[in-house]
Amino acid sequence: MSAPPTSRPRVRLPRPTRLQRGGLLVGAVVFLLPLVVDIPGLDPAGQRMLAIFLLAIVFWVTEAIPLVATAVLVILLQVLLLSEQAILPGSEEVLTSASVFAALADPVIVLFLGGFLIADGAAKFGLDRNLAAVLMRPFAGDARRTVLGLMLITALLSMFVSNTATTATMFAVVIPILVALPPGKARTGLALSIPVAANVGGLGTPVGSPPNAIALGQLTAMGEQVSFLGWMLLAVPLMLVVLLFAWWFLTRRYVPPGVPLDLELTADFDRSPAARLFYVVAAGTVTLWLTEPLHGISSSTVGFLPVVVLLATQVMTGDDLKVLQWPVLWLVAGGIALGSGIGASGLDVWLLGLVAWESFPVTAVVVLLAVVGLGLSTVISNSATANLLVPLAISLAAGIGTDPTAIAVVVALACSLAMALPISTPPNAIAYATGEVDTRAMASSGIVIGAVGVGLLVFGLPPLWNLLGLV
Amino acid sequence: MSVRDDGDPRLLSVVVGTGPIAARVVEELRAEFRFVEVVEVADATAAAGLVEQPDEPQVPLVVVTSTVGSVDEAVDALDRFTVFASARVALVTDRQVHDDVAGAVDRDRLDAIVAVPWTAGALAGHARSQIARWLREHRPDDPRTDLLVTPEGRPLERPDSELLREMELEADDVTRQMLASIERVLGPRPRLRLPAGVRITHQDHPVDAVLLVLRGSVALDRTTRVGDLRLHHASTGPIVGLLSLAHQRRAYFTARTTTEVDVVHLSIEQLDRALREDPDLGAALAAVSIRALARRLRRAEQLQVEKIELNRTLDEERQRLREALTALEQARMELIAQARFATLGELAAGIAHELNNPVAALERAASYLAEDVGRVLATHPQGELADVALRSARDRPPRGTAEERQLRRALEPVTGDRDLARRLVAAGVTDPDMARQLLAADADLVGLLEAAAGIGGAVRNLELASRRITGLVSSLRSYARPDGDPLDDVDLHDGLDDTLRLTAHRLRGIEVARDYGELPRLRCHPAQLDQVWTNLLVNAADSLDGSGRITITTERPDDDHVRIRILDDGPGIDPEVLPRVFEPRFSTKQGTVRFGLGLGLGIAKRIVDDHGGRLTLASEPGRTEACVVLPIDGPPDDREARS
Amino acid sequence: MKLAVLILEDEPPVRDALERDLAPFRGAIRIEVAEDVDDAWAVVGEIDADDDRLALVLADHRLPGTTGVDFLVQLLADDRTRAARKVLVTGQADQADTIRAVNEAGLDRYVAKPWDPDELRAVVRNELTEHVLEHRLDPLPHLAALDAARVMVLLRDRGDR
Repeated sequence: MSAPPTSRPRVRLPRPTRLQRGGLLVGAVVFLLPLVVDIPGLDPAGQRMLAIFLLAIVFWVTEAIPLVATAVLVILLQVLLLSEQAILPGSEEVLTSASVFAALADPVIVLFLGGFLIADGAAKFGLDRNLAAVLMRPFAGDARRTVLGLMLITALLSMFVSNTATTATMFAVVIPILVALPPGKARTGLALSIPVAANVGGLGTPVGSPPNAIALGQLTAMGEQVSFLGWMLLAVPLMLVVLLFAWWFLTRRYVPPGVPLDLELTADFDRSPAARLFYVVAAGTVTLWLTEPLHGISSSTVGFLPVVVLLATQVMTGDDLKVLQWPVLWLVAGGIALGSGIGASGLDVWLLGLVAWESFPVTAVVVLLAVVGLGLSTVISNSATANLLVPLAISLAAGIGTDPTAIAVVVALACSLAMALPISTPPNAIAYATGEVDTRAMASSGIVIGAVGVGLLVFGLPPLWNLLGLV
Repeated sequence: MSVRDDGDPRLLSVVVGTGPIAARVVEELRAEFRFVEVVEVADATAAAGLVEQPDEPQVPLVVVTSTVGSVDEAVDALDRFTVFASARVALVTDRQVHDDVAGAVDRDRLDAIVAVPWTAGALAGHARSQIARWLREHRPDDPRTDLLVTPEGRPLERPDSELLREMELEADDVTRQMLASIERVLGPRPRLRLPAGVRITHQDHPVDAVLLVLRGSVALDRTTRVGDLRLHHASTGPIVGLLSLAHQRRAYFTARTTTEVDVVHLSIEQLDRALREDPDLGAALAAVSIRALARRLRRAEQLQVEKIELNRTLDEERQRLREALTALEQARMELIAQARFATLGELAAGIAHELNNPVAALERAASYLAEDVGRVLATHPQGELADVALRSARDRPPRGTAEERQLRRALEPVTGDRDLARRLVAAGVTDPDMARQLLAADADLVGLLEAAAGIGGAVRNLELASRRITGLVSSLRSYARPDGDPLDDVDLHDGLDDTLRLTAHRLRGIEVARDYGELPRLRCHPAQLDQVWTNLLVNAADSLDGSGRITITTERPDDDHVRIRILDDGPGIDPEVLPRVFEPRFSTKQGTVRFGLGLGLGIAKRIVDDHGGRLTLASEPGRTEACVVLPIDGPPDDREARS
Repeated sequence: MKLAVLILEDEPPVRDALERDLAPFRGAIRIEVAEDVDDAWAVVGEIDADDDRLALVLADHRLPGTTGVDFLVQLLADDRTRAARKVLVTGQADQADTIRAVNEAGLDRYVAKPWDPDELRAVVRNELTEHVLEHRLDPLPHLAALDAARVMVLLRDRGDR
């Protein structure tokens, strides 16, 4: 009588929360408002773009619909309102539909695709775990040293692998020793160190986290080229300083000195031909990224190289391609589309004209943007924050007469420094779910590290960049 | 023409048939016999009319001619009359083939057959011999027998041929005649006098001479795979060695004298000469040989019959042995089962005893715990409330899970939190208003109340568990009472209840109805009867397989007996299987009937039988009833012992 | 959405003990008890109505009028319960019952009475983990009741946001 289990999954629609219902309502209102009300100084294309922008703000902030859905909605609305396929009459075409859709395959998306594939391959062949095992060896013994090692390795992995995946990998390694520790502060410190390091590590490269890609993509759209190595020169110093500070802060606060902690990890490298091939491809890709000034091949092109080689050699297959984090790629694509729409529709000029930005000191404007980015991305998605703020920041750059690259990078990095709440980033959510970290501990460390990070970002980095002649 | 005494009956010879053959027969017979009337009839009915005369003539001979049609039918018809049934029957026929005589031959009713045409006088000769035999058999003293002589005047007794004549002589006479013939040819032969034990031929050795045994006896032995066998002794005959001529001149037997014997030794050559010169010797030798062979053959046939009889006896013995073995095996199985049960009983008694102390400790600990916790709680500022929670949790019967959830749901609007509602219910707070007050006053109190109620529930479970163990222990103890003399004043209901308790794990899911009547106390072996109840209940439970109804009815059908019926509504026992369920080893484990503890209904039946009672099982689908009837005043052997 | 564990046991003390032994999981998962099969189905309905997910059933074997194995077989025929992991907690199932439970009901584990509380919790944690892994559920809300190290693999390809 045992009925064969049906393979058809039961799809259940989640019930919208009150916030989501409110978001849908408010989103609809703010979307219709610029379309109905005539806004002085804004031509019809700008008004339509404003409607899309406001809708995006409300939906991304309230998550009335999933983030990626908002991203594709933005793309669709731009096609329907601003392109040659517009359904509303009375507006000049400011965009071609092809250029809007092109955001889905923007060079930055291609770069990310390569990064994701390498990250997934690393997981598939156990490279990430084995690297962690090898690199942890010098840090064995003392708990504080172990935490330092864990954080450095987590950050290093996180530069090339998504912050979330890095956190998951590292927790899978750490949980056995975590539960072996006596309950108390040391556990909290250890559990906190991983998401913090993962979040901070994400700053380091263009593929480290989506806000980086969003900034990079919008700068590229503006004609501002930033190479892979260029980004690293801009961001790695901050990353290292914040990481060391975070280690110092967490260990002082949670890990008493002299606590013995042995993290015995055994490295067991996969030596199959497929794995070896993958190691070569990964190493080659990273090398090419880091040596862009020598050969001049753009990082996106380099990023597409492993995609081709790994698929051609069948080291990775279509199945690996299927499980890539397409929602993240499309979320970034939505941001890129939004940014180019704002620029093309002239909305940026109108926004710039709203406030007499010239009267503010540059630093104040940068501080404001960074703090808003930090605050907003603390409660909503980092990528969504970057999607909204980076176009604004780039628009402002012209108004306040500063370099758009610097300001875009500052805003993107500020978004990644938000880690005060469990909902701030997925790594935080994972750490919180382990039950070893309460909101209080997370908030206190997040605020301190975020504040120090943003402080350094705003006051330390631009002078350094100037000094080094990077910007 | 009648030559007969007045006392002698008239003799008739009946010729059945018509036509020239019959006429010739009548003619020849009439010419031959003077004291036998020859009559001709067409068929059997006519013949009957002929003999039913007041002077009751007798019929020594019936001649049936082939003109009657079916010979069998004619003979059958004649044989219906007593007077013809004893007559000799001759068939005169002109047919080449007869397929109508099977019945007559089979019943030995055809004594002579004469073909047409016959040499003159031949038929008369046959008739003469047949009538003579009839007379010798039926009227041995009839003087008319002497009138029957051969044409040569020889009495009918003596055969015509030398061989048949010799065959009818006494054995010694033939031997003597033969020896005389031999000595006529070869001159006097020396007599060899041999003591007992001398071998005169040797098995498988060449034989060059025959030995004529004149006095004493010789045994014939043969060595076979199963040893030396004596095959002939009395049946040896007077000539030894002759048969080996038909056996490539090798002796088949070892001939050994068993007494002192006188023999005459004749080499083959001498015998050959004697036979050549005296033709009569051949007939004598043949007669002696045939006589000896006939004896040996009869002996062999007798042996064959004995062998068959022996085999039959052996088969019977073997069958009896097999039955005895089966019975023994069954008895052994029963003994093993009983021994196992006895061991189980001792074990159970031991365990029951050992369990007493821990159970008592458990029971006391539960109540001490409640008291002590009560005292501890009294020191707490909210102790009184907690104590109430503890007591109510301890005393209240466990709630059903559905009811519990309902209570929780009722509190959810007050708490707004499913888990808090659950904790309140667990703490014994079920009234929404009370819950609201409690939460308003001190939300932390819920934890205390929950813990107190938890302790109360734990104490209740402890007490419940130890009470259950106590019940099981006492059941176990009475169940495992050792066998001895029957006990007086036994209440069967106690045994049934104990058994129900101990088989509870087998009865889960089954509804058990006890329809107990008024039963007198009786004298019996209660432990043995408990085995009966166990077997019957487990049997019923197994057939129900987890759901159904068992009804136990007790009643007193008459002044001297009690009756216990165990009825289940299971699928019933296969009618083919039902008659065998009391066989000791019977079990249909794969089917519907299963017996617990490997005992089975056979033992149950034996126990009831030993009590002088009766165990019967009736089954149909949906209704299987085991019925036990027991005498009130104890087992019969015990009754005898007491009186 | 919460993962739910259903305990089906007819004897109140045993039911209390099972529920209490699983108390550390409260908060991470929903624990429901039922005393018979009808009530168990009522619980299944409630869990479904609350948009929770039945992830694990701990059933006694001997139940009034039926057996735990029969109930586990029934679970396979219902959309709401088919995916649940199935554990028999019993001291009385014979070999035939157990074989049937494995073959027809897809039994996942067998816990013999009396059970060791730590072992029981380990079994529950393991079965819930298997359920989450098998159906690729979001492990974070239930992580305290799961084998965290093992479910981390589900988070890997989730991506930053």
